[in-house]
Formats: sequence, C-alpha cells, structure tokens
Amino acid sequence: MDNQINEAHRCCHGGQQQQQHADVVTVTEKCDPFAATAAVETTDTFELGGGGLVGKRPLVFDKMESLVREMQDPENGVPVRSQKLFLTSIPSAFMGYDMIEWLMERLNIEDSVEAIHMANLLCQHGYFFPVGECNKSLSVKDDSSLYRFQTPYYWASQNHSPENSEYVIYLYKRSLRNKQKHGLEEYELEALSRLKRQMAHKWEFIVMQAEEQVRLAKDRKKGDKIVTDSQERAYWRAYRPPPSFLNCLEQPPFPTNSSWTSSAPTSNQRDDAAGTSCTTASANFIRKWKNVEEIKTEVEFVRGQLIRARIKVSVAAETLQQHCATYSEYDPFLHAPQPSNPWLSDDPTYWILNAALVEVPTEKRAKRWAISIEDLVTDQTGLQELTNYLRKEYSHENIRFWLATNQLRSGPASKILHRVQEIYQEFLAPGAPCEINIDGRTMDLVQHEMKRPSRFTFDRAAEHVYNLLLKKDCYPRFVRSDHYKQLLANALQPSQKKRFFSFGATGKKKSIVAATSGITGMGQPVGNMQQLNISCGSSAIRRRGSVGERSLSGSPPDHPHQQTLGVSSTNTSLLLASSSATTAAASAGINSSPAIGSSAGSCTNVSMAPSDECDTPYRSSSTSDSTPILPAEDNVCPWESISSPPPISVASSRTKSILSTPGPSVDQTEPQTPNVSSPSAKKSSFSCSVDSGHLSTDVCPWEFGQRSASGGFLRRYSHQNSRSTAKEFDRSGGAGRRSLSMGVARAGNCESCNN
Amino acid sequence: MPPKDDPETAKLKQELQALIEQCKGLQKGFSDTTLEAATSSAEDLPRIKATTRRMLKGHINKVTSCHYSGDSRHLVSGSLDGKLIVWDTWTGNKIQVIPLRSAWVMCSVFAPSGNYVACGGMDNMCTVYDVNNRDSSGTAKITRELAGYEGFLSTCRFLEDGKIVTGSGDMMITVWDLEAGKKLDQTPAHVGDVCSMSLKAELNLIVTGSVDRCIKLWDVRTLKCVQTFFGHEADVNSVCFHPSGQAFVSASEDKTSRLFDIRSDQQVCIYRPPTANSSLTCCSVSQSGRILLAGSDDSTVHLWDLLKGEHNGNLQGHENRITGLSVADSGIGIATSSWDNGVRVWG
Repeated sequence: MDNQINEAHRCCHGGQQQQQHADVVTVTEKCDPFAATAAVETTDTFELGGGGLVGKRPLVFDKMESLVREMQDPENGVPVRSQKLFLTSIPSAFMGYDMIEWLMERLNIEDSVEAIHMANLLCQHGYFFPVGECNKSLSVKDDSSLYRFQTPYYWASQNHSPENSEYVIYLYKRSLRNKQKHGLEEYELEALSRLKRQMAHKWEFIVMQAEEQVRLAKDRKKGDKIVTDSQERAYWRAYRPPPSFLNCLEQPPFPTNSSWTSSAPTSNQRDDAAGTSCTTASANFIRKWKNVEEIKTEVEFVRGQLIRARIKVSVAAETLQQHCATYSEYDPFLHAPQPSNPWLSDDPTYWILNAALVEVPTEKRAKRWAISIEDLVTDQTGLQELTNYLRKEYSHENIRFWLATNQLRSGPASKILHRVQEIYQEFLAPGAPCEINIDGRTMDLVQHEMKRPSRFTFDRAAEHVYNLLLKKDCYPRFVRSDHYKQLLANALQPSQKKRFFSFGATGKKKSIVAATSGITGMGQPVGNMQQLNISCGSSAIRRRGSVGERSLSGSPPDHPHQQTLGVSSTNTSLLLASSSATTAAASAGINSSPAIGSSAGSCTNVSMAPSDECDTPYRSSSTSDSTPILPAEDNVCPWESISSPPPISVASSRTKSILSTPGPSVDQTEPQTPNVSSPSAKKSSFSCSVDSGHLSTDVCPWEFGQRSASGGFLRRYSHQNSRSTAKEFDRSGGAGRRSLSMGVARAGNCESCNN
Repeated sequence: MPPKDDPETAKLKQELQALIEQCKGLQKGFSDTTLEAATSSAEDLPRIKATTRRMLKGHINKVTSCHYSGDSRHLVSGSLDGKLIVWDTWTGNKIQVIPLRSAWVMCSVFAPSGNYVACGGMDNMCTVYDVNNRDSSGTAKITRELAGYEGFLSTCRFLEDGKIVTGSGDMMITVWDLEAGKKLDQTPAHVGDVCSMSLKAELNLIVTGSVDRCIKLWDVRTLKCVQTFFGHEADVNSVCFHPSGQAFVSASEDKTSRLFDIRSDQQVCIYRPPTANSSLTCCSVSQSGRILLAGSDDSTVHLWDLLKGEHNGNLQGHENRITGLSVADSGIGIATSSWDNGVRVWG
C-alpha cells in the first residue's frame, strides 16, 4: 500500500524530487567521496523524515565532524580570530566568505552555490552558528557575516537526547540574567511556562540547578562567557527550533529498523515471533492513539471484549475443516465443475448452465441447495424453485414477504413510503390478505418502526421470518420434498454424457463456437455484456429460448427478443440446426438430462446439413409424435434412447396452446422445443403434480392441519396471489426477469389458476 | 522523541495495554491446539495445477486493482493510465473502456449484480458508473461522484446496487446511499489508513485491514466495531473473508499471511512464503475455502493449503508486483492485476 502511494506520489510530483537528487549527486560527484554520502543522506532526512536513518547517522556525523575538525585546524583551517565590529570586539569568530572559500578549496568545488549548500547543512546540524541576535534562520551567507564553531561537547555525534528538564534549566537560567542580553523570545517564554507547569514536582531542583550555574558563570572571564553562552544558545536553537523552523536532528517518532525490514527471520526468531509479535503490534497500535475521548471508547470496547464468548481453536478448526470438506466438491480447482471446466475443454456450455437463472440446474448445483438455506437462496434459480415449491404448498407468504422486504431495501427512495404501506397492508395488518405469522414482540417492533417508515422498517420482521420460518420450517420441508427429489433426478449430468461424445467431435465444436461468436461481432456493438452472454452459447440458448431472453437483463420486455432474433437471423440455419438437434434428443424421450450434453455433439452432426433442409423437417417433426425422429436420433446417440424413460406426453399438448401467446417471432423457434424445460410447460406439469402430490407428500402434520382448517380461505387468496406474484416477479426481477419469458410464465400461471 | 503524553492519556493508554494483555491471556486459554494439528486428519491438498488462461491486455500503465462481477465471468480492472476496463474473462474481450477523470485510481469494484462499477483513489472520491447506461459516445455514465473524503480512497465494496461501503486514507469507513448520493453512516475506523476491506453480505459483516497493523470486524448495519485482531507486524495490505464466514485471512507487508478465526477471536494460523523477501499485497481464498492465495511483490501468487499451512506452489507469469487478486464467486477463475500493465486470468 505504502509503496503504491509513494510510487504514485513520486509520479505525481514529477521530477521535482528527482531533480533534487540530481543536484545533490552533481555536487557530490565533484566533491570527495565522503561528502557524497554525507550530502545525500542529509537531504534524505528532509525527504523521508529520517525513516530508517538512525542506524546510519553516526557514520554521517563522523564524516561531517572530521571535516569540521579540519576546518578548525589553526594552521590550514578557516581563520578564526577576534573580529572587530564597530567598537565592540567579537571573540573567536570567522567570516562567511572565508569558510566558503576554504570549502571550495578543500573539496575542489567549482561553483560557490554548492559550497554554500554544504555550509548550510553543516550549520543546520549545529557544527557552527551565526553570531548575533538577528540571525535566527541558521543559514550561511557568502559575505562578512560572522560565525562561530560549536564546542565538540554539543556535537550531534554525542547523541544528546535533549531532555525537557535540561531545557527548562537553560531557559530559567536565562530568565535570571540580564534582561537585555539574555531576554527570552516569545516562544521560549511559552515553553518555559508550559514546562514549569509540567515539572511542578521538581521545580525546586530546577531552580537550584539554574542558580548554581549562574553563580559559576559569574566567575568566568568575559570572553569565555560570551562564547559559552552563545554555544549553549545555538545548541538549543538547533534542538528546540522556534516555530516554523526545521529541526533536522529530530528523532523519528517511530522505531526504525524493526524486525520486518531486516532480512528473513531465522528459525529461532520465528518461534519467538509468534509469542512477541502480538505485543509489539498492539503496543504500536496503542501508541498511535491521540484523542483522549477515543482512547476512552477504545478502553470501553476492549473491556467489553473481555466477556466475549469464545470457542476453542480445536472446535474452530473442525468447523473450517468440515466446511472445506463439504464444499471441496464445488471448487473448480479441486474437482471438475459441471458440465466441464471451460478452461480445459474450451466448451462454453459451462457459462450457460451456470447462469443466474436456468431452467434446469446441473446436478451439482441442485445438490448444493441441500447444504444450507444460504446456498439455496443466494442462487437465483434455487430461490425460484423454493418459491415455486412453497406456492404449491400454499405457504409462500413468508418467502414473498422476505423477498419484498429485500426489495424494499434496494428500491428507489421515492417509493419507499408507498411500498412500506403496501407491504404492511399485504402481510402484516390484522386480517391482511396474506398475513404472516410473527410473534407479538416482533410485531410491536414493526408497529413502532412504522411510525418512521424507512428502508429498514421491516428488517426485524424479515429476520424473524427468515430465521424461524424459512430456515427452520420451509427449508427442511423443501429439502425433504418430492419437488426437490424430482429436481435432483431431473438435474443435468452433462459431464457423464460428455465422455461419450468427446471423441472426434471437438474440432467441429470449435467451429461452431467460432461461428456464433462471429455473429456477435457483426450483429451488434461490441461490448454489450448481455448480448455477449448469448453469443457465447447461442446454440444452446436457442434451445431453451426463454432462458436466453432472461439473460438479456435490463432491457424492456419486447426488444431483447427482437434483438436476439436479429442475431440469430444472420445465421439461423446454424442455430436452428443445433436447437432442433437437441430437440430431437429431448423429444426422443429423455426427460432433460442429456439435452445439453448431446447438444454439443449432435449439433455438430446436423450443422453439416444445408440449412433449408434441416429447417423444415424438424419443424414438422416436432409437432408430431416423437417417434419419427428416432432414427435421426439414433445416429446421434444410440445409447440415450435405450436408457431413457418414455417421453412425457402431457406437457407437449399444453405447451403448444400456451406458446401461441408470446407472438409470431417465438412461434418460429419455440414450437420446436416441446421439451419439458420450457417454463410454461414445466409450470403446468408442476401444477399437475401438486394436485396428485398433495395427498401423498409427507407434509408435517402441524402444517397440514393448519391448512385444512383454513383451507378455503387460503386457497381463495392463493389464486389471487399467484396472479399478483407473477407481476411481483415481473417488477422485482428488474433486470433479470423483466422479459418476454415472464410473459410466458404469467400465461402459464394464469392457466394454472384457471385449472 | 515523540511528544510525551499528558498523565491522563498515559494512564488511559496503560489501562488499554493492560486490558489488551488480559484479552490475550483469555484468548490463549482457548487456544488448546494448533490448526495444523487439528486438521492433520484432512485429506492432503493435491498440487494445484493452475495456469494463465487469459492474458487481458489493454492497459498501458500499472494496473492497480481488479474485481470479479457476481456472474463470475466479467471483470473490472483499474489502471494508472486513467481507464477502467470491463472484461469478459472467457472470451478475453473488452466489454467497455471507461475513461476516468483522475488517473490515480487505487481500487475498482464490480457490484455483485453486474450493473455498476465503482472506483476511487487519490482524487479523494468514489465514482460509480452504470455499466448498462451509456452516453452518446458509448462510455458508461457516471451515476454518482461521492466526495467528502480527506484522504485517498483505498477500498470499496457494493453492499447492493444502491449502497456502497468505502474505506479511505482518512481512516474512515463510510456507507453511502447511491440513490440519494449521501452518507448513510461514517465512523473513524482505525488509527491509520484503511487499506482493504472484505464483505460478507449474508452475515452483514465487513472486515477492514489497516496501516495501524490491526484488523477490525464491523457490523455493517450499525457500523459498530465488533472485534479487533492483532498480530501483524506491519501494514495489513489485504483482508478477505473465508467463504464459511467464520474466519478471514490477511496479507501484510510483514511478509506473512494469517488466518484469524472470528468465533475463537484469535489468529489460528500463519503462512510464510518460502522466499525471504516477498511481502504480500493481496489475498483471497478459493471457493471451497481450502486454498489460500496471496499475491506478492515478487510478482508471483503464492498458494497455501489453508488448513495445513503448507505452501502449495506459485502462480508464475507476471513480471512485476501483483497489486490485486480476485477469485470468481463460482471459483472458476482467479484474476490478478500487476504493475506489468497486465491482467491475467488463471484457471
């Protein structure tokens, strides 16, 4: 993260910093090697705030100090003498240009600017300082201004960590002396009063110390006094700079060179790290807190954590292991997904069969629904199946309420008030058409919330419904039900069929994929997601026409259908060929399982035939009985026709009548799929099985009793509901379901009502 | 020297430290075994044979992030060239290229529904684009620009189509209502930049990792901190929920990845790359929760057996630091973004 930011910042500020670096480097290339490192590292302190430099510092100081010692050499150094300024003489001082000249000579610097820069750095590190009051800024000028060397006692390499107590002694001492000469600056006065408060407990000691030092100073010679005073002052000027001035000697506030920046820990350290790391981490965490109030809340929070219920690590490990074991079957990295791993087989059917909403789920997918209710309701198809099942049982008010509240949360803000009222009237008000069964306490909460309707008004009730009714009651019933068993039995097991067709056909399959993706390239603007969805598997989507339209999310009901037809028209022959081929397979009496598996294989065969020929015969055949196609089917898959159960005749007759509703365009393609997986057909077949299934299914006695008691009432409303639910879905599905297929579904629904 | 705390603060800090130590003592009491020991009976993880299936080429600068859509097929990636690209990972085609107002993008996410993408970065803003709604030039329209941060936006996640939660450099986490374009909730989350966030929508939980080296667990509805986890010795670059929702993994600058269990309230496993100098930038867990993946600045993705803590190999191919890693919901693919200007899909 930090790197990323640094990186970006660096880019951001363009070459500025780079430029700086370059400057320094040019300076240093000309200077001797020592100066090179010194200069680079000192500039680094400005840039990085000293991070990681503590370790290197003494080295830098050594180099700077050896230079300063040379400067002070009485023979070859910078000439230091008593300077006469007007009538006063200033002891042991040197002039700015003398030093610059010396530096240029000593280090072979050609440009005086570089020498001044060097001098400035030395000055800022406190090796010499400007004499006189006026010069606060610790800068060096190339003129006759006067400077004085700092005594080695105060040099940075001594590693003074100037303490507040020393500072306050110094300040107090000055305040005791001559006001004119030693008067305190404003910031110093502030610091003094602040420290006086803080150090109240040892103030007497400080006063004593300061007085002692003043007494000693009086005995000294005047010249010495001036020099030592100014040196001490310069020292504090460097370490406690006035506000808005840089202190380049400041220690970084965080520890540097800690364990992780060094190379990999040795094995010993590793063992150790486990124990100590927590402590260091939390210590670091605590150090960062600034605000007292925040610390207080944090303390409260941690105190609350003390009474937290924890489980043993062994239990946690077991849960994790169990989870991994349960789901490893569904992890494409561990087990092959159904129908096949698209990366290995190059077969796009995976994407089609695992779309959010499919007519018939793959076996794995259906199996997964039995693991937990979360697995069921997070899968769109699963949620739909659960709703279907509950509708059949006339107990779907709970799930409808739950879905409605979920929708409310993400719906448009303008309609919230309205929707809240609607939901309340439909599910919660006394005597509501589909009153849900929640306890009194939750009801009170809802009533309370209703005073200020918001997105979350029904959250408590929804949670209650989900946890107590759906999870504990409806879901287990669903998993035990015949409906689910039938789903499992009907689920696609494409991987097995795959094996059968895998030889020989792969080359041709690829050509189809290429052809279909070619269509999208021509037919529509590249880059529309939904349309691409189709393109990748249009052959199979055609077969299950309604599903194809569903995946066209977000478009108005009529258009998508037109569009897809537009696409398919460019290459209808191919699509029809493939779809009819699968139809053949399906109508040959296989309920649903081989449909996809064979589609790939069979369509390769058929697509070789000229389009006109394969178009007509199949259309006619589909309306007739399934037997005439069987010969054609035979050379596709002899094995399927043997193993498969006899065709379902109930569905086909109904489908035709229903399918006439959606419009002419559908008529062309859809009648060829009197295959059970068409939604309307399925729905009607469900409604059949409900009537028969009701008596036989093992519903829990309580549930059954309740229903018989209020049977008439419920039934009457459920008829109403099934109609309104269709609308509901229509609205709710938003993107996914607002399509023509829903029209079909609605038609189917109404019909089942009429029945 | 850092400025000294005044006595009150110092006392509070001491108290805090003592409480945390006490907490640790309690935690230790529940750590009766190690994860590796407890799961020794589990089947060995076979060597993972994943290779690059698609090279998504198109960005002309470092790619900083990538994220899968809920359909496990579409992917959004954001790059310092100032573009978001929406990819179809199966065909390798670009679905959309969205030019951004600021090139300094640090995160890009897809809404689970696939209808929106959001991105943000050093423009201190979170920008949401509607993928399905385009203007006359064919680029996606901006749905919302969410301003009001004092630091860069480092991470965000869609709670649903109309709600987004973000974490930022000003140490805040914020929940936005996209429809109204206003903050629903905001709270100071950490004492350092929030780096990363992972969402468990079903449980209404988010977990955030931060530069302050700790990881916090939040309830999305109230935006109250539920738990704090210590352990890392440097910035926590990335966090990711385990699919079970009972645990999460983290990747850190301290060259380790760790597994924390929520119910036992502590770190249960630590994973170190076999190479000495690989700090980890991003992490994720495979669909089943068995494989831990962590992208590294050594330009590979490290794999571990999450249960047994054994290193399972590397995904090699990128030529520079890996910045983002996203596992498809169905687990069918892994996408990685890198400073080598490339995005790769592994399967």
